[in-house]
Amino acid sequence: MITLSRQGLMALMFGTVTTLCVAAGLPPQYAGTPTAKEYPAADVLVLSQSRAFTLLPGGRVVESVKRVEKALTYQGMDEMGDPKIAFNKENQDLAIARCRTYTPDGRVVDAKANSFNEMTPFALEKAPAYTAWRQMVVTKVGLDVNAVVELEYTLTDKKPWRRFLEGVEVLRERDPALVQEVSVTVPEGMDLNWKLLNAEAKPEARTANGQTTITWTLRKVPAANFMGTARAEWSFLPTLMFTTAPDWGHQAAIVGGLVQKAMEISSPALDRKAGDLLAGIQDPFEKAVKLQNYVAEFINTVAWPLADFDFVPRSAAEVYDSGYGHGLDKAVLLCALLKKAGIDAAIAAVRMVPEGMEDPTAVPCLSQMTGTLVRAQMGKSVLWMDPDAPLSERSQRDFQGEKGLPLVKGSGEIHTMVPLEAPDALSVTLDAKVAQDLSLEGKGTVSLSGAYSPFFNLQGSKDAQKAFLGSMVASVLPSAALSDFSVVRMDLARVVFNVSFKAPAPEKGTVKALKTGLPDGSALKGVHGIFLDVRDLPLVLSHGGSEKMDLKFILGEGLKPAYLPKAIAEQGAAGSLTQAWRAADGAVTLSFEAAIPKPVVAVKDYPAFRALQGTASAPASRMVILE
Amino acid sequence: MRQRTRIVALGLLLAAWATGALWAQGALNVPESLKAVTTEAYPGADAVVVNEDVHVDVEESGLSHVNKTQLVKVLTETGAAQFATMRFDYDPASSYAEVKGFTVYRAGGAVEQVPPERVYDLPQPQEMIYWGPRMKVVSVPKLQPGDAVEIRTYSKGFVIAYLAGGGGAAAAAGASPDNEKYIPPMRGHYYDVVLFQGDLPIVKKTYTIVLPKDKPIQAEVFNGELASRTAFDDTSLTYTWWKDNVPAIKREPRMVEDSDAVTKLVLATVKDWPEKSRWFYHVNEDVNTFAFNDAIKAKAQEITKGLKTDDEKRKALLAWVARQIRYSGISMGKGEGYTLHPGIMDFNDRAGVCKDIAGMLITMFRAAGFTHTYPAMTMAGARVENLPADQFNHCVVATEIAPNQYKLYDPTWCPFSSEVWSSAEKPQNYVIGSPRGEQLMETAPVPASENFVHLASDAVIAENGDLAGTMIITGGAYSETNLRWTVVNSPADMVRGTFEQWLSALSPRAQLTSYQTTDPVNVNLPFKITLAYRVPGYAMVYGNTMLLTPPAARNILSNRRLTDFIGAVAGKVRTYGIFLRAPREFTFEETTHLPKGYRLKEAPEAKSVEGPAADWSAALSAKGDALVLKERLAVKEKIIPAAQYANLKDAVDAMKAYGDALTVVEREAGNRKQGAGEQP
Repeated sequence: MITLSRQGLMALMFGTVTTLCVAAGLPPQYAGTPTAKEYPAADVLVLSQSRAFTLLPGGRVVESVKRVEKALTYQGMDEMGDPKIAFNKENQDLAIARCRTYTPDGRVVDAKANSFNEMTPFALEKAPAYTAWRQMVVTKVGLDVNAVVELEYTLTDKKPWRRFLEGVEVLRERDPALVQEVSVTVPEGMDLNWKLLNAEAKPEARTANGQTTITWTLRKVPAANFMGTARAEWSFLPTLMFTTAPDWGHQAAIVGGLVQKAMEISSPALDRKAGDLLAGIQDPFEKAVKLQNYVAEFINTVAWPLADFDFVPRSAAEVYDSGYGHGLDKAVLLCALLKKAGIDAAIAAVRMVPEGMEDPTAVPCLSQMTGTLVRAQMGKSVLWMDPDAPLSERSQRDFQGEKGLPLVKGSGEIHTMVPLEAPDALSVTLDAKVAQDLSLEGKGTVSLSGAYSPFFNLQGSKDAQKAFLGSMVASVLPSAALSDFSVVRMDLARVVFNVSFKAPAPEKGTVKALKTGLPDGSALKGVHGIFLDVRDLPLVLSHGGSEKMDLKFILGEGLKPAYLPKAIAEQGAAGSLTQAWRAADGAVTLSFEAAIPKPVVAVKDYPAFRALQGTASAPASRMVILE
Repeated sequence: MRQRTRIVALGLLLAAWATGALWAQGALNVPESLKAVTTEAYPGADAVVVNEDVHVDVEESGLSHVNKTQLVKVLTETGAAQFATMRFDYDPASSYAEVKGFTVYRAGGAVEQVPPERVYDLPQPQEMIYWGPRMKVVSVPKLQPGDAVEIRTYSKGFVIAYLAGGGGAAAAAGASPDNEKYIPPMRGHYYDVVLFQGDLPIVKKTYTIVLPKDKPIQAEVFNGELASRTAFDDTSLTYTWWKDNVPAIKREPRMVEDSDAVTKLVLATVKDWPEKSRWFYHVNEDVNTFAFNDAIKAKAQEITKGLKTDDEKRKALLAWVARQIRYSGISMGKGEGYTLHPGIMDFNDRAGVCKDIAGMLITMFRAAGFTHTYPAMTMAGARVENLPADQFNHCVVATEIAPNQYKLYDPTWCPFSSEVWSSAEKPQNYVIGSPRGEQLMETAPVPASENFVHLASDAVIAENGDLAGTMIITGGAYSETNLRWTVVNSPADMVRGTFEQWLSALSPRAQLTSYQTTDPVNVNLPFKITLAYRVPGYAMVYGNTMLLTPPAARNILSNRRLTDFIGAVAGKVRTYGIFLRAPREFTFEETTHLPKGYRLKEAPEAKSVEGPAADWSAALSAKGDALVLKERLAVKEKIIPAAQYANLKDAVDAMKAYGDALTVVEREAGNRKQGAGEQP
C-alpha cells in the first residue's frame, strides 16, 4: 500500500516486483469472462466497479474504489493503462492498496513503486493557489490483451473539510460494465437526499454499528459512445446524485455568506483597476460590458470542477492580484467590480438541464453545479453574464436550459433561466439580379431574434457587424461579398439589417450553377456528430427555432432554369422542413421554411432529424442549374 | 495512446532551461531600456523580451552553472494575462534550480520585489512520460500594460529532453545539493542548442559560456547570423554570442520545427560523432542493459519459430515488441532519460518510452542471435546539425546485417505496421551507439509512390439520382500504417463512426451500409478497408440530363492522418518550410455505372499540375455506359521548402476544385424519354 500524506510518499507498496509464473490462464475468478468476441465494440470491459463513500461521525469522508477491468484490445491496454486519481494533498490521504495485473498466460504482475507518479493537473499548472489538488498517475504494468487488472484505492480525509457528503456519480461510461455499484454510508439517523437519474435500480439499505449504508447496483451497463457528442448530452447518462445537505437553503446560506465576504475584500490595486476600466464611461450597460469583458478575457480561467473547491471562493482582491480564478472566483471579482460601478449584482451556481431530462435539482446537491452566472440589475432589466466568457461568446441566449441556485443568504430555491423575450427566429430575404455571366448583384434583409440573435457579438462594433453580415451573405450565396449594410434594428431581442451584395462571375465552366447554402446560425448547420447514422444519447442543439429564407434570382437575358431542386415537405417529431423552388416571369425563387421545435432531439427521433438535415443541406437541394 | 507519432524521450543531456548568465548588477539600466518598448514601436505584440541574458560557467567535470536574467515588458492586457504566472521546469534527479530574484517594474516607476512565498515548487503535469519532473511556478503580482517583470534564475546540472525521475528533495529550499548527480553522464563535456528567436519580439539576447582554458568548444550558427566575441584569461575561455532586435516568429501551419527555422547556436565540447557514439554504446553496455533471461529467450524463439530468413525473424520480433510494449514511461531512477531500461525490466513492465521499447527489441534481437544490434539516437521532426551536440529526441534500433552495413528498426513508430522503419522518418538523421564509433548518418528519402493510398471505387447511379457503391482502400508503407491505425489504434466504438465521417464528404445524406477490414494486427498481409454506401438523391436529374461529381473525386480520405498537407495550405505565400508526416501518392480509380442509355456529355476541366513538391492530374472518360475516373495527387517531399509552396497549393486547390465540379451525363438520343426536359 502507498500512503500519501503532507510529507509526500510515506510508505509503499506491495514489496518488490511480483511476477509469478503459474499455470497458464487467468485465475479462476476471471477465467471465462467475456472477450472482444462478446464485446466487439469495446476496448475494455469493466468486470466490476464499486465506489463506496462513508461519512465518519466526526465529519471526515472516506472514499473507497475497487475496479476490475479487462483489456479486450491493444487500444484497450492504452486506454486503461495510466489512470489518474485526483486527490487533495492537503486534506486527503491517498492509499493505493492494489494494482495487480493477471495475464492470460498466467503471469501476475504487481505495480512497482515507480508506477505511481504524482503530478499537478494540467488544468491547474498556472494556478498555484489550487495545487493542493494533485493527480496520482497509476501506470499499470504487465498488460496484455485479455489481461485483467485489479485497482483498489482509498481516499481518506485528514480532517473534516467539506460541509456535506456529496457526490455526482456517473454510472455509464465509455467502457461497458458487468457490475457498477455505488454505496453511501452515513451515521445512523442522518438523512441522505439522493436520486438515481436516467436508470432504475432498487437501492439496498442496511444499518449496522451506528451506520446506515445504501447501495445501488446496475448490471450489464452498456458502453456509452461519446463520438460526436457534446457535454450537455452527458446529462442523459445514468447518474447517482446524493447529498447530506438538507435543502438548498442551507447550501445558499453557507456559500452565499462566503461569496458576500469574498466580494467585500478589495485592495488599492483592484480599486485603481476599477477606476481605470470605468474611466469616461457613463452608461451602466457599457460599464457592465467593459467589466465583464475584462474579467472574462484577462483573468485566466481555472478549468477544474467547482465542487472540488467546495464552492469556496478566494477574495476579489486575491483573484485580481493572482490574475486567475475558477468560475466562482471570477464571478466574485466581476460582482465586486460591478458593485464599484454602482451596479447591483449577484451570483448563481448553475448547471444545464436539457429538455427531457429528469430534474436533477430535486436533490440539493451543490456538486452538480458546473458553473456560475452573474445577474446584474440594469435598471428595470437584467443582464446575465458568464464570468468565463465575454458576452460576445456567451450570453442569455446560450444560457437557456440552465438551472441555478442564487448564492445569496436567504435564497433557497432553484431558478430556471428566464426565456428570451423574442421568439427564436431567423429570416433571410435576398433579391439578386443574375447577369449572363452569372455574376450577381442584389440586396435584402437579415433578421435574427431570440436564440438566433447575435446582439452581443455585434452591438457597438461596425467591424463586427460587417464581418458577421459578410459571412452570412456568403453562407447563403457562396462567393457573394457584402457591399453595404445598414442597421434597421439592434436590441437585445432582435437584430435586423439591410444588406447589399455582389458576386463576381464564376470561372467559365460547362455547367451554369447558382449555388446556395443554409444561412449561418441555422440549427440545421454545423450540427456536431451529424455524420453518425445512429446515436446513443439525445442530440442537444445550441437552440431550436423557426427559420425562413426567401431568395429571388432575376435571370439575365437568355438565362433560363434547367434544373430546380425538388420540392421538400417533411414533418417529424424533431422538426419540419418545406422548400420550394419556382421559376416564373424570368425569375427563380426559393421559399424555405424550417422549424426545430425543441433543442433536444431524442434518440428515436435522431434518424429522422438527420434525414431532414441531410435533405436541407445536400447540394442537390441547394443548387439551380441554368442554361 | 498507441499512435506513436509523438516525438519521444531520449534527448541526451539537452539543457532545456538550464542555461543562464550571471546577473550583472548595474550593467543594465532597467527603466531606461524599458522606455523605448512601446505599443507604437512593437505593434501587435502583447509583450516584448527587453533583455535575455544567459551566462554558463562550465567546470572541468562538465558541471554547468547557469545564471539567467529575463526582462519582459507587457504591452497589452493579453500580455498581462499571459504573464500572470511564469513557469520554469527542471529535473530534480539531475539539476538544481532556484529563482534568485523577481522584480516588477511598474509603468509608473515603482519597483516591487516579489517575495519568495510567491514561488511554488510543484510536480509538473505529465502525459505518457511519468518521470517526476518538477517546476518552479511564480505567481506574478497582477501586471498592467506598461509593467515589466524581471526574473533571475540559477541552475546547475542538466535536464534530459523529456526529463528524468527522482524525488525532488534536491530542489527543496535548504537542501544540500550533491554535485555528483548534476555532472552530465558524458562526463567532462558540455553542449547546448540555443535559439535566438521566439514567440515574442526580443530587443537583445545574449549567451555567454565560460569554459576551463583547456576545454575548447566547437560552435556554429545556423539559420541566420549572430554577433560574437571571444576572450580568455589565465584560467578560462569566454565566448559570447548576441543578437539585437529580433522579431517574433510568425507561425505558419505545419511549419518546420523552430530549430530548423530560427537562428540557432549549436555548441559542443565533444570532439566528434564517433566519440558520442562510443559513449552511447558504453553507457548502456556497461550496465548490461540488453541481457536476457530464459523467459525472453523462450519468447524470442516462440515468435521466430518456423521463420526462415533473418529479415522475417527480425520483422516478427519487431511486430511483437511494437504492439506489446505500450508507450508509457516510468522512471527507473539513476540513468533515466539517457540509458535504456534493461530488457528484463521492459519484459516485465510491458511499458516504456521509445528508448525502452527500443531496448526491448535490442534484447529480443540479441536473444534471437542478432548480437550486433545497438541503440541509435535520432531526431524525429528536425534536422541534426553536424556538430556532436545533443540534438536527439528519439531512440531506435540498428542491427549490423553485414560488416559496416546496418538496418534500422523503430518499434515505437511501427506498431501494427508492415514497415520496420517508418517512412515518416525518411529522411532523418541518426547516430548509432556502437563499440567502434559511428558518424552522423541520414536515412534516404522515400518516394511518394511507396506511401501510396489507392482508392478503388465502383458505383452505380440510378435513374432517380440515387447513388450506391463500394470503395476499397489500400495503402503502402506509412499510408498503410495510417489506415491500420484507423482501426486498431482507435477506440473500437468509433471505427464505424470514423468511416461514416469519411463518407460524409460525399454528401450529408450519405449512409454507410456496411464495412469490412482485413486484420490490422497481421502486418504480413496487406491491409484493406471496404466501405459500402448509398446516397439518396446524389445526382441532379432533369430531363435527359444528369449532373454529378464522381464520388471518388470528393476525396473521402481527407483527414488529419492522411492529408496533413491540406492543413498546410493557407494563404498565398509562406516564410518557412512545411513539415509533413510523409510524402504521399493518392490514386483514385473509379467506375461509375450510369443508368441504361446515359453517356458522358461533358467532363469538368482538369488542368494538370506538375512541380517539384506536388503533382495533380485527373481524367474522366466514358467506357460504355460508365464513367471512368483516374485521379492522382502526389505530394513528393516530406519537407517542402517555402519556395515550393505555390506548387503544393496549386495541386491541392486543383484537387479540391475538381471535387466540387460537376460532370454532365446525358441520355442518348435513341433512349430519350418523351417529353423530358421540362422539369422546371
